[in-house]
Amino acid sequence: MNKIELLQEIFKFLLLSSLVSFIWSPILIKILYKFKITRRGEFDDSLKLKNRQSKIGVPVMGGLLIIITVAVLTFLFNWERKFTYVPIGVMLLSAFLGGLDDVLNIYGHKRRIRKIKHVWRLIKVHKDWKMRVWYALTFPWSIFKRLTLWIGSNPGKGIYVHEKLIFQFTAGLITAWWIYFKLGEHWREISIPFDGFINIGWLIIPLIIFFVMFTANAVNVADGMDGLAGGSLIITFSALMFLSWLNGYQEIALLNAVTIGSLFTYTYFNIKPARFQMGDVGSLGLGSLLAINTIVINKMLLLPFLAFIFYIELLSVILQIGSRYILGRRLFKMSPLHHHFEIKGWSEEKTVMRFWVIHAIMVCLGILIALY
Amino acid sequence: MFKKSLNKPALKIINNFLHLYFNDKLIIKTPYYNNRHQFKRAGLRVYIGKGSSDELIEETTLLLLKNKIDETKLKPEQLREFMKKHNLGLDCSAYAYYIFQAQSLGLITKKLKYPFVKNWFKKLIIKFRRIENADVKTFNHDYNSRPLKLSEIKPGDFLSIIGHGRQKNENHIIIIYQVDYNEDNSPQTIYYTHSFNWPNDKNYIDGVNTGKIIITNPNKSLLLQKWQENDKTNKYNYTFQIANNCQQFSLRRLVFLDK
Repeated sequence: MNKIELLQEIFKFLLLSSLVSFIWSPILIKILYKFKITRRGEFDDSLKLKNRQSKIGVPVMGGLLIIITVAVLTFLFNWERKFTYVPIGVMLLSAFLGGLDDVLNIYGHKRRIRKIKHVWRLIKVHKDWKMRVWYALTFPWSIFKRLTLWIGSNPGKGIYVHEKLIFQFTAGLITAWWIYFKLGEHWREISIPFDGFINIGWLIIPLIIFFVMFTANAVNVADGMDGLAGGSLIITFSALMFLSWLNGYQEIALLNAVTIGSLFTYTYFNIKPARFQMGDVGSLGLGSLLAINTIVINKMLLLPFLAFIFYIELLSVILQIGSRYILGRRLFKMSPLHHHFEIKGWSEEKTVMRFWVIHAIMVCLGILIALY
Repeated sequence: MFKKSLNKPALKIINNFLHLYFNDKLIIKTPYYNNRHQFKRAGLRVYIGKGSSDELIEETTLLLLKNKIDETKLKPEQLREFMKKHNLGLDCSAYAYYIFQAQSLGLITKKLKYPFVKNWFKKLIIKFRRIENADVKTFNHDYNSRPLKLSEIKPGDFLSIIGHGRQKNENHIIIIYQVDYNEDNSPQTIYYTHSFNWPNDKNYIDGVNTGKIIITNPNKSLLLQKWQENDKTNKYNYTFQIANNCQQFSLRRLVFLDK
């Protein structure tokens, strides 16, 4: 298939995906309403802001529209053992984690994590010696669980941060295994802009795990305003589609095209006032897919450009937490960054569109660097 | 007679804390909060009695939003109660730090020493959290301040009260923000400000406040002068009471403000 033919295929896939997702979107909306999978305000501080209270009651898990469409169309028409089954697998794994979080936030029960001091006391005073041994053996795990609460927001009834981290680590590990052991020698090298390739050996494994985890969480964090994540993801996946087409990664180009197609439909319904929101199911799944699709075309180091707005949003959260614990004051009025501007008085539309524009500029810069 | 007062930025700090501005109808005095009992660590400084006036306003506004309370419908007393309920307030040493910071034009961040801090980890933390770790004893230490005679007094000096309360384990700091002098340069009236819990007929007149000491006899100690605050004088004046009953009371000046 030459480049023009591939381009024709790409656009066919894009339109097909858009059409398919348009067709079944009313069914999804109906299901979400039927099972009352809607946004609740009890554990979400951002919903306490006056102009965001209209979001209470809007269905979440709209990301299923993209995840299912992409998975099904890829499985039917673009299933290639070397290139597509692992990205789809990791996307589904991350989406499953996100979906579980979404559902538990609605139907789950609030759980508690014991304080470290409490566990320590139990180790010393529990009346059953077997339980004392158990608590002692699992003490490092208890510390890990407790410490991860620091980096996460109030988990409500959903999945806790330490559980999320383990899931995402597994997703990253699968990606790293696939790229390092299955794809071949070429993928063990990292493309350095303006400077060819560098082989860092097995160190690429933690790097891949980091990028997958970081990107998935970044998209998750950015999904906080109507149209923000959807619009920005269209820009990013378009860039990835172009780069994969240019470099001859046929299957990845088609996968990106399918994702863009369903993202079009999703964003159509997600423009303010949203008919549904992406939810963790979509944001974590698409975040992982974004990372994998970038890594597999060997543009890993360009992720900060290609996923610019997502990274900025996640960095704002990290900086806010760091500033809170280290400096004792807030860096932003609220994190992620889009809420900061909202509190400062920007309208949701203004914030979203400005973020789109900035993101598009940075993605263009990323493409330009990738061409060297 | 002539008078001397703190520089403009320092007076502005005092004014900001005395009049926390939420809107034209909602201007309140900063409440008092001391972290000694709750002993919170590693959080926002505004929740441990160390926040600036802007931080206090911002945090209160955010909390009001979160609690779905309309700021415009609140009365000043209600807002003050709301702040106290959520541990939003200021303690005496943080108030002193902010004033000294303005008076020294930021020099305090470099010059204030923390002689009671011995371990390296705490020293590292102090690099980032100076206000939180500057307590009355730190200001009172000879490394940072020196005692004065009443005749030497000038704005920017402070009264340190060490070991008051039932168990004699509480400390307090009062800042002199203005001094009226007689023609012979002897002080006539000393105006002070502090953040303090003031028990008064079962109610608390707490938070940032001002008072004055009228010098009746310049040759005698400060404790033998006339202290006025909240229309109460000497033995009815709680500030005077704790100054009178503490273990160590002294008039001091920060060494880097000496020049």
